Amino acid sequence: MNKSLYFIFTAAAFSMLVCAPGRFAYGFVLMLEFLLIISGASAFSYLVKTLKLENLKSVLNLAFIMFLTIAFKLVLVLVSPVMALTLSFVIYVPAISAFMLSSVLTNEEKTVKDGVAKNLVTSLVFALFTLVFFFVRDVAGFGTITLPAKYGITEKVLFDVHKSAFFSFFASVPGALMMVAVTVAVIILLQNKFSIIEKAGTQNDSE
Amino acid sequence: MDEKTKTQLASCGSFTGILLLLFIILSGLVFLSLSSWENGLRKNTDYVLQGYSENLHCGEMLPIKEGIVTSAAFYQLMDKDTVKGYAAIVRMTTYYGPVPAVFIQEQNSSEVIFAGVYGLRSSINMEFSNDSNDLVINYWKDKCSRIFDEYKKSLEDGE
Repeated sequence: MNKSLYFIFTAAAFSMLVCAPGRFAYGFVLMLEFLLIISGASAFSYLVKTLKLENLKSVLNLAFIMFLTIAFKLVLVLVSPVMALTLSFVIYVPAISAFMLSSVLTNEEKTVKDGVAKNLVTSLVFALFTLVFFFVRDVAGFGTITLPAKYGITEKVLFDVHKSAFFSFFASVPGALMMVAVTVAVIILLQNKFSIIEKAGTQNDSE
Repeated sequence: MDEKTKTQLASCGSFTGILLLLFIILSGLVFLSLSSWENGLRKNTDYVLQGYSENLHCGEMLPIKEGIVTSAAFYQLMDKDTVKGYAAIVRMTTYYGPVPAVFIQEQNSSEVIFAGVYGLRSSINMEFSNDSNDLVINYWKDKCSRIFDEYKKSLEDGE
């Protein structure tokens, strides 16, 4: 991950992961929306190019991102209204996240396939991290595993979370904030260590 | 009409056409989702009410005219076929993040009771109770009480 992505990753993580309920079902729905908007908006930017509307590119791309977000919320209301009620404004956050604005609006690949693939690869890394994050919060924090269902969520209680009271902290908002901060710090530390090793290897080769 | 004008007209036409198409699709989705919002949240509220008291369920949705209806729904509270009061399912922000919480008020009482949280069978559910001094629960009790009182007043005024 290059250095500019650290800031994008951190900003997106804080905005999407901390505000949302700490259940796996909600994380799954948020990431589905995130990937749908990234791929849909990336493909739409090529349609705009094909229609020779480059001078209106920014306005149309932003309008399409807003359309996809609101359409997703309305479809979520159709499938599971209580999830739409609980997520509320958090559904709009992926549309304004740094990932969206940096990848879709600055896409310079030649074909639709390459453009969508390039944006999806970066977004999939974030999506996988998010799913693991919500899974850990749900299992360790709430002692349950939840999945989206028609008209609600299905919930399976795994163990009594009060028996491991420390881990119930991760179900809370401060716990989520701490988890994101520690994860980002660990990723940056590991990346710095690997770059030092890489530089040392390059210097030895040149000597 | 010269080529430049034709190109500009074609661009404006395409731009307007795209926006119009997006608007039509969204309008269709809004109409489709209206009944789903009312019926789906009624089912979820009924689920919590069954856990509170066996015969309680939701009736008609109340026509509340406030901004809060984007993250809440209000219904008549029924005991079998009798109107017993009012029920609300609201997005309550807690220490554990937002949860869908149900509050009820009986017709002849001004007291609002916290009935439970939907989809939280985890033992964390014990943190939320009607008797707690939780500021958030008390805030929503006061808010629901005000909304129900305003609705009753609007019925009396014949609106």
